[in-house]
Amino acid sequence: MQTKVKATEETRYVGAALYADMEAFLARVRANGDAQFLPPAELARVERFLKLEARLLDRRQYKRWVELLAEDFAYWIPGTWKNSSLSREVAVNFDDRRRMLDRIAYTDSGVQAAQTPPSRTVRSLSNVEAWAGAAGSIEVTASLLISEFRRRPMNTFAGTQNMLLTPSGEGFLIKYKVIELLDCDAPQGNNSFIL
Amino acid sequence: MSTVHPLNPRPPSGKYDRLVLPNGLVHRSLYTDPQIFEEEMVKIFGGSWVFLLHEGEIPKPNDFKQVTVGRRPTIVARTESGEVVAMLNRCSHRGSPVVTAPCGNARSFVCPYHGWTYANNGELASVTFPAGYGPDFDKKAHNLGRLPRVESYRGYVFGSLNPDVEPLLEWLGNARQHLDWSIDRDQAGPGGVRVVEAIRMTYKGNWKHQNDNNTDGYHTPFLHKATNLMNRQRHGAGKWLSHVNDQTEMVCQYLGHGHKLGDHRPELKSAWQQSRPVPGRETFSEALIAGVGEAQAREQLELVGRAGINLVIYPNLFIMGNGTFAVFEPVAVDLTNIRYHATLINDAPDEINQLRLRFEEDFHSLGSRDDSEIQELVQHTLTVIPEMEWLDISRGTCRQSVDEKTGVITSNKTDDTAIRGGYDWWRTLMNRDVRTTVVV
Repeated sequence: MQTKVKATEETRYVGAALYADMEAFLARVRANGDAQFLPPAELARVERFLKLEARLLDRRQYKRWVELLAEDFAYWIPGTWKNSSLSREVAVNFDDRRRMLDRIAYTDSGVQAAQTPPSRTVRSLSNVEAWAGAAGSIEVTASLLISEFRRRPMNTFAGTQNMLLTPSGEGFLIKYKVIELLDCDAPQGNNSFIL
Repeated sequence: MSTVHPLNPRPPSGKYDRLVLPNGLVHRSLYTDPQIFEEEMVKIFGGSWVFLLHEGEIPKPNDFKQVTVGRRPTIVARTESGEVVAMLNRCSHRGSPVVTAPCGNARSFVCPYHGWTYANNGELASVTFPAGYGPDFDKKAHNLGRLPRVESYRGYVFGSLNPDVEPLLEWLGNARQHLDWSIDRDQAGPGGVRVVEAIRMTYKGNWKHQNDNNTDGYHTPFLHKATNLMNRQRHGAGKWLSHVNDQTEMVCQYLGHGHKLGDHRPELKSAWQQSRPVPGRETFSEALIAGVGEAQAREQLELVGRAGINLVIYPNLFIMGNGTFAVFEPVAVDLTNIRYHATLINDAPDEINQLRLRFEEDFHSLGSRDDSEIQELVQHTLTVIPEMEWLDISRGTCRQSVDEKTGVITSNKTDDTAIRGGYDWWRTLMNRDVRTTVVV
């Protein structure tokens, strides 16, 4: 993994405009009834990407996973169930690219108490829906179920995984990853792995 | 233990003397015995002062919020006239909670079971189908059970179920100046502060583990090694938790009445510079500099980041400075919830508040979980190994010093001095006979 923070990680893209855009994205996903869904071949490409992303996280291949992130990547797990806001609320997690790289350095140190032993995870994505967003982007929502084991009992993290993907070559990059946990506003247990 | 002082008198002797020994040993049953936990819920979380909430959580008339006093579901409401009232969330009729929403705004509470209606100060306003109760029914005897004592200190609201509990200011004692320091640092002005909805965590361990951990400066280089390494690798030297050892000028203090302080201010140069960069650091700080100029912006940015104190106000409030506070909620002898709040300054530039939101997320996800992990492991070993009965909290006994005027005991930040004091107070409360009651 890269170590020192690079100048390019000075994440100037985080600010009021990003917050408004992410909040609007989440609101759209939550009420996506009128969306123009992707044709089956396009949807299959999106699903293949989601499976790759899920596998890299389950296998903790963070170095490869980071290659899927856009330069202006943002990761958000709201702590509220409705009308979630980045400019008024503290999140369960909100990471820009720099903080996510901090998180990976922290976890990959091998001495993080809450990840010793590391969480074993297997995540299932289902009910995948995707539609075209602005400027060639694709908006995706899917049901997410993560089974997680470190020591008994096994835990379940359930929710909705929403992504804004931007096209890149033959594939995609993740611009936003927003996870709505069913129990986001209830006391969280050991959630110290990347969802 | 040289904690005896006019302000910290030797606890009244009683049955708990055999579980907290003067040479710095604490018995494992304090963390594992459900009966001791039940007694704590009466004598500590009820018989003494307990933090309820910050007034900023119920800013408007008729706002209410549910909290717990020990485990008792409790409604704290601001009445139309602005008075803050705390009442147990239990219908005086057949025991149903009268409020199910976690918070809201209401002049009255209607019990969902049989429709009894209470004003938001707890008085029974009406019963449904009243003819069935006859003419002698005494409505005043059926109000919600209210906490006999509720007092606010500069926005921090405390309550007690003990009508004879000592005056709040007397009880705050030496902790008050540090709470004042933290409040004054915000320079909130007439606009005051608003409290952000909590992020909540849970761990399978006794509430006292986290209470102790907050002024335990000994564990940071070891338990938080991952945070430590990440800081050095990614952000270089000079961030909080990058280097901690026992040569530190930082201290821990036992303040009396159970209150404890980890004082980092001797090494606080700049809260802003010593904190890890948060998302939006450059955007918001540069906008602030453009708006108010470099000098003023630098001053205001000090309102973001680790501010230099870990103040535990016994038993359940933890103040970290720069508007962040946490509340411990005991659930069972081996289960504790914590709610973490940021506060925003209404009159401050928006950039400061935006950065405060992002800073609040920092240690939650890049540190705190390591504390709860170890607390869960400790809880387990204490529970299942009966042959080893004692925990050692003697560190610093050889080098602590007592201020004769205030009774405050000070030692190196890595010492157990504050923790030991907390157990002296625990024993004081647990050995004392106390009457807890509600007023209707």
